[in-house]
Amino acid sequence: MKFLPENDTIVALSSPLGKGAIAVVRASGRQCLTILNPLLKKKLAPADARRALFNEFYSSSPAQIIDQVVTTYFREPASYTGEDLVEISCHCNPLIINRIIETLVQSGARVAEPGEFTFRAFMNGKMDLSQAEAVAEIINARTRQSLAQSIRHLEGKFSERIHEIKNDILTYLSLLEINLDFSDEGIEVLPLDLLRERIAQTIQRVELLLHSYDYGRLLQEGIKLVILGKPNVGKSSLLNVLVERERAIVSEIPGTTRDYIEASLEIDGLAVQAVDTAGIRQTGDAVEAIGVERALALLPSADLALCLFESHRPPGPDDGVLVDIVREHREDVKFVLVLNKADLGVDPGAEKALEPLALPLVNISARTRQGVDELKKAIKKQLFDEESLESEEIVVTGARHKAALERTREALLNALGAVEQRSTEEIIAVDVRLALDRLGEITGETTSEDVLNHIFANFCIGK
Amino acid sequence: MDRFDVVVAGGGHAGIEAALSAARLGLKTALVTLKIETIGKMSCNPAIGGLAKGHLVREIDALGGEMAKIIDATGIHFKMLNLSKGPAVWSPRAQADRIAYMKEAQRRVLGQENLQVIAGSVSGLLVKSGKVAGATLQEGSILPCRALVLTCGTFLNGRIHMGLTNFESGRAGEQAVKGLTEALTDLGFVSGRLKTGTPPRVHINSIDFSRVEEQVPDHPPVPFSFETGKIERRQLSCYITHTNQGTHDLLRTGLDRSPMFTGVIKAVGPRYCPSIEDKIVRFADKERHQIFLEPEGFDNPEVYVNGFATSLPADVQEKAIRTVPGLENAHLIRLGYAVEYDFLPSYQLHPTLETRLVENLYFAGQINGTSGYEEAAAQGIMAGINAAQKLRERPPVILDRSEAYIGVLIDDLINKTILEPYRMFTSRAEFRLLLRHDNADLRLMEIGHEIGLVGERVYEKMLRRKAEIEALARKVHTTSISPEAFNPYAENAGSAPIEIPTPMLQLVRRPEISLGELLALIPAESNGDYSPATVAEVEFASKYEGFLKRQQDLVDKFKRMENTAIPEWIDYDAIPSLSTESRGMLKKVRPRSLGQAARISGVRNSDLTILMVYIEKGRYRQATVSRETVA
Repeated sequence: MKFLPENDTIVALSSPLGKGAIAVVRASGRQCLTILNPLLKKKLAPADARRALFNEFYSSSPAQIIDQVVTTYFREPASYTGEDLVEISCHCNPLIINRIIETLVQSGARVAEPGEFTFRAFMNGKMDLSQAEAVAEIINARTRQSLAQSIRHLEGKFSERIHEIKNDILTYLSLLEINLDFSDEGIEVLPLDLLRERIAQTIQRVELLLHSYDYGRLLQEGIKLVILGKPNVGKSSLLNVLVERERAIVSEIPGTTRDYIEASLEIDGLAVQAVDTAGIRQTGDAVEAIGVERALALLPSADLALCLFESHRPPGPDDGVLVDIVREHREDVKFVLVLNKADLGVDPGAEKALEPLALPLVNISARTRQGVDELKKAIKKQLFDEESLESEEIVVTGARHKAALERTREALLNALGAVEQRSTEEIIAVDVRLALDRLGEITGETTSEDVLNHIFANFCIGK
Repeated sequence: MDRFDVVVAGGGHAGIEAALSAARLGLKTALVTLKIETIGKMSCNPAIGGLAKGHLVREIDALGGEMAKIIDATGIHFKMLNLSKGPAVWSPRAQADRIAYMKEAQRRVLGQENLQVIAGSVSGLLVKSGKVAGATLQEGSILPCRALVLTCGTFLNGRIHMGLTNFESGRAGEQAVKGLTEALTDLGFVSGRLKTGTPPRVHINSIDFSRVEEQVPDHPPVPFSFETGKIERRQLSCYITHTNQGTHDLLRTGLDRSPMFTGVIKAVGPRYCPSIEDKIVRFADKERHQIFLEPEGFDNPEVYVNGFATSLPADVQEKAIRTVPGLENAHLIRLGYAVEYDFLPSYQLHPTLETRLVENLYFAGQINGTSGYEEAAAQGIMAGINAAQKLRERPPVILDRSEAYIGVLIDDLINKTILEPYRMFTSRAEFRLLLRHDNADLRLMEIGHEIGLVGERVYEKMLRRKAEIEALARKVHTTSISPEAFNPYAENAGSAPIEIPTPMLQLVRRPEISLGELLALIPAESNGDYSPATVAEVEFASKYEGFLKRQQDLVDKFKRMENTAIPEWIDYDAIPSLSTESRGMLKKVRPRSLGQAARISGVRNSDLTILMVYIEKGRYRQATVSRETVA
């Protein structure tokens, strides 16, 4: 069935996509607070209407902080849409924005259709009737824009995979329908065991695509990389080599980077937000201690940490502090060990001492750039397993696509359940049909006419 | 000549239902047909019902129509199809005694009060200020009337093809209707052309029955009509045989004289009912095709060769058919042929089947691009009812997609582009689980009774059935069964034992448990005497409660969209933001509701949203400007 607005809660990024300090994500609908409050540190209540609250936004499970945000609650009817509406101002990082939207969708909101906020505003009488044409034009323009976007998205292997999945489902839906609509024509039937196998296969395909979502998100939004190491091990130099311009202050005095420094860079097309931290060592200096604490606080939100050691001599007591940190966090964060200063020589003892950690290890020289390419390879390999490296082009990126695929999978699992209960065809067909409808949010609608076309094209029907 | 309220042109399955319903609703009705003795003729296969079509027949019956009663009186081979599936897709089918069926239909039509049968051909219509004023007959006379229902079948400029020869004809041996299409296009209607075909008939005595496989009818036969008690007529078997490579080789020799493959026929035929030559070309690797031999009655030597529709030349038909086991010495009484005819794409209709262009003019049957007796009859009864309702100044009767296959049929006709003759399939009904053949009475009889076509006796029978179902459903929801009563039975049924008294509903949901057997476990004195149909109904509702609930939720959503009316005053050209394609389709179909707009092929989602904006805008404006014009 085609889209028509209802009383559900919609969510979208409402500030322009691109560079900026702050982004605004808007959620509107009757269930707005019910959906949002479990995700916020400070719960929103009618008393908070129109007050900007400094807040924290959490993911649903596990509850981890996604960003520090400012929330503003507009109570219906005094809002843009005329419904309960919350504006979430977060840091303008595509990663954060998407995680917030994704979390809201998981909690029951729906990604808004193009122009839907304006549409609701109009329908709820928030706009002058003379603005109707403007409203229609906004819907029209946004649709064209998002259509162009999704056409871009639907090119390449992603679209190929989606159509493979659609064809899979269409094929066995056709077989089910043949057994119902042409059962008197002596056409080969589809045994239930085979059907179960095929549905399970499709579910696997959908899951593979869903896995690629995380990878795709990393590709699109970039990764967060933290550089750790004792003072003067060459963290800032490495960052500079990676950025290829003087971003961090590189000096001979240990402890120059007292807080932390961020830089955007690119590794083989992958956007990276790199953070150079203050040196880690046993210290009595209060300022440096805070720096270390902050560096450690960055770890949970990082996708990867580079741990720097020296290659020309065995690790010392300051390095021991870092080794302990790696041991403690290795379950949560991916690590690559880097032995820097290879230009000063390579001591086999250094590598040997780190062997028990069983992590990828690369010898480099930030000064001569020796080994930097190997390091980049190691980073990518550690981030993405072999399988997804091969399927590099097949990625799901949009939150909307992800939601549609998840709902497709759910319907297929129900169909599988019906097959296992040995239900008859018309019962199984209900969920198979539903799976096609949900996939239709990506591919466009599959009508009963399409199913019949498939039947007539592939089977000799007709007495 | 007398003035009639309703004139029905055509005495086929649509015309019969239209004329009978109008006459029964008290309107002075005339049925004009070329030959009175061909009223109710089965032009193609001698069967009524079948998958999805059986549902239509039951619905026609629940509304007070005739088809089910005629086939119950004349059927010679009843079979319930899809019995191995769930009850939602069971479908009754019956072979008819072709001559008996026709005679029975004529008896009912000729005996109908308020209905006059006139031999003739309607070749034009009289329109006064946009409204039907009369029908013009071929010989020039005028039949004044207030409403006209056209049910012309394949007769509009019909042309029969057999090999490369072709000639004007509406049906084998009968003249075509000339001039009517032109009269309609002169009024502004758009017409198109479709094609259909029929197989040869062979003499029963020329079939070697030792070489074919027998198909026995159901015993006892299950009637179509809610009013029929029992099928009285003696039953006959049908037979199955197959084509082979020899058949296919022979058929291929005639392809250079096939009107289909040489391009003589340009109109599109139904893909679900292809000719045998089409099958062997499109599915060349298929080694054999199934052929059904269907007797046409006790006193009729003709046997219908179902699966062998063809428009190849006579010599090829004869040689090819004789390669089929059992038909080696077949004597062909009649040859197969293809027929091309005019239709009027049905987006030109209101959902009442009244045309948008001319008031009180109705179309039903093949003229709307459908195929099949059942599809025709369904439209016939709806056209008859709505013509009568309008003349009686009563509200129109429009069934929606969640109520009936008839609703699906008419809604599809109006909103979809018809590229081939339209046939009903269960897969066209999105609420398939709710639209069962055996609950057609529960779904529709109230409406039939309200209009005045369903008699008190059968209506009360339905009400009693409804009450019985409700009582049993209550019992299933409220009664628990003890472990002592259940467990011995469970062991036999391969079901897990229970430890505490358990609600019946919970037990019925187990796939291996049947409600009939559960009922036998509770004490007889607390057990009503439920009919098997009632038990089946409640069992289905209990076992599939979750699925039915989901379908019901979808129905509710569907109804909300159906209830958002698009006002008549909307001017699609005045909405600049609409996409060109959507605008074109919306102007063509002029949907009545947003739900309907969403179903029109080619209308985009964003355009629906824009449409909502304009409806809203207009509503305010209308409310402030005037109070009476809001639709």
